[in-house]
Amino acid sequence: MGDRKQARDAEFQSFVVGRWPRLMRTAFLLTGEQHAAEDLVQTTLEQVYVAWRRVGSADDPEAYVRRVMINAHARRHRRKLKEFLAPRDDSGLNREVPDSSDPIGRADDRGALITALAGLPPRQRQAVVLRYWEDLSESQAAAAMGCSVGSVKSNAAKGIAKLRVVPGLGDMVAHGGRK
Amino acid sequence: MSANRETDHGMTTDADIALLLAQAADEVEIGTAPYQAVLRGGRRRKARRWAMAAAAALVIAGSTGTLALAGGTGGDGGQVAPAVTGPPTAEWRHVYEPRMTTVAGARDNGKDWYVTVVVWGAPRNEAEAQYQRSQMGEYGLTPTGTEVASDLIGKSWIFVRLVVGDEPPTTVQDGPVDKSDADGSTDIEVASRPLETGRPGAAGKAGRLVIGKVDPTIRAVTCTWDDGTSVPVPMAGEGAGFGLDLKPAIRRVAGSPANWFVCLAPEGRSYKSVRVDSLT
Repeated sequence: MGDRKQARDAEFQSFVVGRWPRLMRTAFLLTGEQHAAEDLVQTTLEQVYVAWRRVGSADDPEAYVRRVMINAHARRHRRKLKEFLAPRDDSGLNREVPDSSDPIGRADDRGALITALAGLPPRQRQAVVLRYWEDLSESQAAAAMGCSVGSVKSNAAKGIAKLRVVPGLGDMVAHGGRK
Repeated sequence: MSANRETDHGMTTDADIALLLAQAADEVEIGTAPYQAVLRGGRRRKARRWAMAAAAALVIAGSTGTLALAGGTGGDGGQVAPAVTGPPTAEWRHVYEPRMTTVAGARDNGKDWYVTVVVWGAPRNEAEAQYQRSQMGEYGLTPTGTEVASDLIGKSWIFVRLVVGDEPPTTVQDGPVDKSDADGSTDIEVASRPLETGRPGAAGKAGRLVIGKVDPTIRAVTCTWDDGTSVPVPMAGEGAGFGLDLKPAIRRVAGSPANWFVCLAPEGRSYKSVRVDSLT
């Protein structure tokens, strides 16, 4: 068993290291928060490890991983609604309005999108992230979310519509992310 | 953009959103993939499925000899054993009626107890899974970690049931059948728990009852108690022992790729370790 197990472990390690950056970005968009994203990806990969024998030999392991991550995100949302919906702002201080000409200000612009995204209901957020960040087809997004294609269309459309009316986001859109 | 996208018109007009998302996603600090932490967490998850109701759980990695004892785990990945090449009907595949094998039983403090392994075949579709879930309900069984019936699709499911005296059966472990249980590994998955047969409170929290599963190539193990005494657990002969007062033995279980064994520490002692004694 030693050789087979070692080979599987090596394969899994390669998968984890290779996919970590992409999964972190997706998780960040889903959770809106650095530590929650790390936690979500780690939880996802732990579950993938348990099923790695099957997942590793599947035609499309990515699809399985996406499904696990979306399920994990949905479960967390049910458990700790506020914690995972809202980005942390535990300073208790009012945010200052940044100067849009400097890099820190631009970072805050992008923070506005994260904030807006985090304000969406989870299914809309998932649909937007899967369609517009992961660049999945509606069918692939439906498979990841465990719902119908129609539901993906509806959730994505509603999510995008809500993002477009967020104050300031329209300007960002018009200037490619920079005011 | 995906080549086979169903509706590209929305994607085109919403390309600006995609750009913003990409920029926002770049804000996250990637860091180094915490592979070791993932591995530890994955192993813990794997063991936990088999130790839901147990007082302690461990997986021992290694061949013959001394074994590690901890809440830690080992074992490899692999989880589901889809029975896609089995007999054609759900009934033949035991989707609606499980196979049950009693792996241990005896009288302790005047009370009979026995351990039965219940194996449900893998449903292949939503309809089969839904009916299976309702059938499991008839037996008072709930597969741990599943939220909807479709979570059962492609998975054979094992429940380990303990009956003590006239009490109703309790599930002490459950989880999907793990194909890697029969990959030649010398890992042993073991859980120990109290057995309440005596005076109220007499059993305390001591993990007297040891339930484990091993690869079919393992022919004998030894359970050792906290006072240093031990009991050998050989492979049971064909058709050996049914009914109560089964001597500790490694037994084949219908529907399970792993063999199972149970041993019980004398009252006042508790589980310490288990080791593999011989392989085929």
